Amino acid sequence: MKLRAGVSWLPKRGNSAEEYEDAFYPKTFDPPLVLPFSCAIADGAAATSFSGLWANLLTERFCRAGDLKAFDQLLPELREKWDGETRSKPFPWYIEQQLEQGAFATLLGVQIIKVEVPAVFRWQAIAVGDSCLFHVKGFDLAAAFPPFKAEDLKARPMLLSSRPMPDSATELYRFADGNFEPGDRLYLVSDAVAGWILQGVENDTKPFVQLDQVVRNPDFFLALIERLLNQRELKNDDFTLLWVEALSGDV
Amino acid sequence: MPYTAQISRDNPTCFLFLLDQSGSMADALAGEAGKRKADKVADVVNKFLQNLVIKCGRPEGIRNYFHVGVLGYGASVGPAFGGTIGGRELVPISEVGENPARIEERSKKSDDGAGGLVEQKIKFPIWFDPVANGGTPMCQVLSQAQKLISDWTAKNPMCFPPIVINVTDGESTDGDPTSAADAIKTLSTADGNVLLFNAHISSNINASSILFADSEASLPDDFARLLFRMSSNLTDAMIAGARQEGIAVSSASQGFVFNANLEALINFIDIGTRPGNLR
Repeated sequence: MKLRAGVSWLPKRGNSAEEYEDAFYPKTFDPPLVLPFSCAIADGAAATSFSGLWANLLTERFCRAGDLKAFDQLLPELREKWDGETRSKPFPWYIEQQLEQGAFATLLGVQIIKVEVPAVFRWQAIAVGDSCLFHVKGFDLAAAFPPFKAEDLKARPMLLSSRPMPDSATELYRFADGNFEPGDRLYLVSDAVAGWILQGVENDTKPFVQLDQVVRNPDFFLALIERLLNQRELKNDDFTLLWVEALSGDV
Repeated sequence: MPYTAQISRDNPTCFLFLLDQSGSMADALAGEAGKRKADKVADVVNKFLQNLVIKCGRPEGIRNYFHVGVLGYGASVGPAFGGTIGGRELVPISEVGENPARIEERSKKSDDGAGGLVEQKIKFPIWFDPVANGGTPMCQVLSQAQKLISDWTAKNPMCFPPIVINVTDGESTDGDPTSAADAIKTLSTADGNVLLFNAHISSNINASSILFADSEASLPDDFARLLFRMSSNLTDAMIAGARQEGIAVSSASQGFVFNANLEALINFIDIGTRPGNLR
């Protein structure tokens, strides 16, 4: 089986590209993509500064680490790095107080592996917060992770903090896995796009047909987001769509 | 659907505080020994502005999601900002944040992440000092607020409706303020009517604090009941936000608090994701 992947992203309408606070990794998807293959997205919360930096640190470290279950043990090192990068110069009082609070971000990390016995390919995922993974066969949803309903995305999500928090790992982390077969796709999306997909699945408006057009023509992403915003079918937020496709053939 | 306009730098909204600075505010505050009502009023507004600025702050500058004004009423009625923005009526939040009258250093206990508490020094910006002098011309200040907000909504017809917050002990000395309050609440943008909220600061020692009351029955005196009746209903999003903060509210809850801080209100105003584990 071969893999193909890509990403489309846009900042919140009205914001510049520099103000985009989601993150994704890898930054490029040049073939061949080798197994085990890791990818991740994160959504930095707008409540504090430097959440985009935090989101970038999380996604990159996840992809380099490769061990989903041990991710929590990497946080002290990432927090130290975030602290070092944000203490590089003096800031006004309101930024100092944000830095005390820390930055917050979701994390959705996926790893695709080959299992020898039985000989299958599997995806494994870790999620914190409301970034979502959709496993799609054809144009049909095979699995949604976390298993949210559209309504669930209106709640304030529990996120990974760049400061030590009392939240227990069991409260924050969710795990899932599934078989990954030729023709299947995984979509990793931040909450605005996830909300639209979940609403579409609930109303049977075939959102994966439109996402298929984005995979075929990445320029369609901008047109799709603009149309959905104009129709008020989409929350105005940063938009991230990372996709991975399984193809027949050898890696 | 009303109260769903997105708040952005291109489409900001507005907070206007009405600050009771009358002589009666020199009376003792119920439940907080050694504190006067005037001290509480200054604390409420300074803290609110501090949190609002923090919410909009970025390393490259403060994003102007809000314009903010403060009208004081007591011996006189008019703009009450201190420092370099003194005398101005509605000021972009970036200028408010960059220009407090002074910055004090205060102590704060916070979670150390390991089950204990650690004392931190934090900077506390001050825009207002307590004032207690003269009568309580509430009708006059509401009328002045109505003119200011009328101008604002004319210039920003698509914005999330302005929120007017009256912080007072409720003892109006220039008549019944009900009709002046109604005149503010009938103003509107395309997104809904202007919201009028009241924060009642009381010396009543028999009453405990109340957040977003939903009926007059629970209120301790006539001043509280009058302010409750003057207050707008919380919007649906605010009710949902209050519930997420663990505040007991009902669909009838109004923008009325009694001897309580209003900071929670800031968290109900959506300008981006707020983590569930950020307190």
